[in-house]
Amino acid sequence: MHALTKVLVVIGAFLSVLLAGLSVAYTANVDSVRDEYSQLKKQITVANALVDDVNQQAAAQRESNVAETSDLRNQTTQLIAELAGLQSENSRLQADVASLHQAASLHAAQIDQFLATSETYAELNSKQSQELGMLRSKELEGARREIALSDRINELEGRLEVSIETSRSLQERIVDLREELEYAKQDGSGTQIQSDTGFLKAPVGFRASVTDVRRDPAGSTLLEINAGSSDNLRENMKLNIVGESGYIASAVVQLVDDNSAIVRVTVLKAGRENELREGNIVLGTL
Amino acid sequence: MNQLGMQMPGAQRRRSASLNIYTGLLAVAVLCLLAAVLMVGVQANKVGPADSGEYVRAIQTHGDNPVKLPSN
Repeated sequence: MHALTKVLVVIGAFLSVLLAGLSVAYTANVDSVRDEYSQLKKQITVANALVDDVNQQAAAQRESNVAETSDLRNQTTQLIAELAGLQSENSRLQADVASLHQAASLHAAQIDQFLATSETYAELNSKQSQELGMLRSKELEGARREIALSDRINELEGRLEVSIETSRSLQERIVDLREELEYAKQDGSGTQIQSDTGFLKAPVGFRASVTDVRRDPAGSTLLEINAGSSDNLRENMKLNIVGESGYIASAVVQLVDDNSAIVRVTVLKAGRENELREGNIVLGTL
Repeated sequence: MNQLGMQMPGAQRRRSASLNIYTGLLAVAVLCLLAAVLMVGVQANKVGPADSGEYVRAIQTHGDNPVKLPSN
């Protein structure tokens, strides 16, 4: 065998061993790579499925977003229109506010005028009230004066009546005295039982009380007393009427019954007309 | 004897070794093996573990470790 052939055999053997090792390692690595590749392919398939799902969800979401976007655009359009309406309303309201401000200022001026007018009326009312008070005080004073004058007139009327009665009694007394004088001239003697005034004297210790007060149509006052002929009372006897405060009037017996009599008031003390009432004491002498 | 280079008497005269057809075939086989080693080595270097050194990974396997290929 040639030496070259031997060298070639050795080189071929060495290369064969090296190729075998390389082939083993390469085959094992390729197998691992294939397994890895298979796993990756499966993962890619799963990932693709997930991606498809996500894409479908994204598509649905996109559609819903598109619909929502269209709705939002419609709402935006409506809001823009509403905004325009509100702006016009706002401008109109601002104009109204301005007009109301003007009206308020006008009303304030009118209120000031009304206040001034009311103050004027208040002053007038106060003056009228003062004047009315003065008039009322004057009217009251006049009424008081009228009352005083009426009282004075009544007093004077009472005095006049007393004077009239006194005058009439004096006239009667004059007539009686003239008659007595004539009788005395005719008989030559006077009546012993009559008093100096022409009236009979009441019995000594005579005492009675008034039971009724009447008014004579002629104007004189008649009194009914609880004593009569049983008490030795006779017509034309003079009696005195006494009240709680003392002497009130003088009276003359007009009509005598058994237990009662009617007397006529001849003299009434001034200012004591109203004290003639039931219960007054009737005395023969004071 | 023959193997010791000795020639027995009467034996055919030994002829000297020369290149023959087998030497040529062997040379071709060696060239093919060399080409195959180069190509397999290059490809095995591509799929070997990335953690190993250059040209060393061609004769190493991934084993139970996860596959990690070199960048090139």
